[in-house]
Amino acid sequence: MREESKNTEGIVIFLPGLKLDFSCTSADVKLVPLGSSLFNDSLTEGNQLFHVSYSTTESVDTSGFSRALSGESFPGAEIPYTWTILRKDHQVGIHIDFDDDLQLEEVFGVIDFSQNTISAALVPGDGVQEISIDPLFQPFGSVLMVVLAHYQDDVLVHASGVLENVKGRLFTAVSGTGKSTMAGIWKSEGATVINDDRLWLRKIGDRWYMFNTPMPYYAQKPLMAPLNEIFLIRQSPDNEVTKLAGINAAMRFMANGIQHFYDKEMTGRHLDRILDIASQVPIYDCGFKLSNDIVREIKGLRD
Amino acid sequence: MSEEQQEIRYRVNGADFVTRQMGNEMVMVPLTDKVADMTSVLTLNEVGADILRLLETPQTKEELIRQMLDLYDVDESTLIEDVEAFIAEATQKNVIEIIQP
Repeated sequence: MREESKNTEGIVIFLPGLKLDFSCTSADVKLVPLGSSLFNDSLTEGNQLFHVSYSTTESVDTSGFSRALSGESFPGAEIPYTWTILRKDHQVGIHIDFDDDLQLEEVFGVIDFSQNTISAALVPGDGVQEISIDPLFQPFGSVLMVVLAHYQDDVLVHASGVLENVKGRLFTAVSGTGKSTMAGIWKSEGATVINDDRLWLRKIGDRWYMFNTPMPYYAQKPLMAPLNEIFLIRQSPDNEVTKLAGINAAMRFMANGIQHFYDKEMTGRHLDRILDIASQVPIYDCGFKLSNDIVREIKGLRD
Repeated sequence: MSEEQQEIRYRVNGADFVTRQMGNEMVMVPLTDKVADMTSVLTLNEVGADILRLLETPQTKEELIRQMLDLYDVDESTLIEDVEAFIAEATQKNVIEIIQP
């Protein structure tokens, strides 16, 4: 049975296919939704419920877990950190070691897939009396989303997405290549921007959809759109849109996925998802110049 | 070619790659210590995919060439050259492994 919370915040956050019910078991943790504040509404049916609890501790205990994968923040990050994904039986651990965060020294969260619980222990920084965090605080929230998305056979991708009439289009590229710019161009033509940086892709019935996710620096309400077309974008002196075919198209799309896979079965399932998307959704190579002409060019495409 | 060399067999390295088929093409994701290296994904065209499928059963180069000649209506010397080049590259990339006699 779950431990009775001392400081129940009653905060619920919905992600595609998931309902996360947050509580704090230590009085010195305060959950203050920022980027996730509007994600209290569900866009999907039949969500799987996970109970997420936060508590404080003097030191984290990762004994019994083995390291699966690790990484670190990008150079120049405001708050540098190292993240590690660990495993033990039905459990996945997420360890974050902050270099120089004012509130937190370390975090160790354990996702137990047999109990549908996520318990995170937070180590406060020196002299910190109260920890105030978004329920999906960075980078714990992002790594958690990566693990949960994979668990339910979804895909996270660095991409912007727009909805225009009933058509959803995804624009993916490496950072700094124009995802936000492209989304901005479509917005100026009346389209709804689902998100301009990261999308969560989920198959519902036999169709793929794209969703936004909570982001740390801006509050957006949850949005979704069908995934009708995928564009691999690059800036170019002229607009040039070419349909790609076969495995080359699928792999170029996959290259911009957010993918941290630490076993063979996991990697195989991800490949299956990517190939399924590529077999269903047309993928285009898209060079574009900074003008609204690209909207008309793309709208004029015929399969 | 010495007798010993003729006995060398080749086999696809199934343990260190995740392999999937899309149409006639194939994709292989290398695994290092079980972790997927998504930056070194290999894609193979129909001919490469057929060679790898045949090498799921260990074969000598000659056996492989014979089976490929059954599949493709091509000039034998060109096919031998292509298969040898493929084996050299695939061995170097650890996609296929050599089984010593």
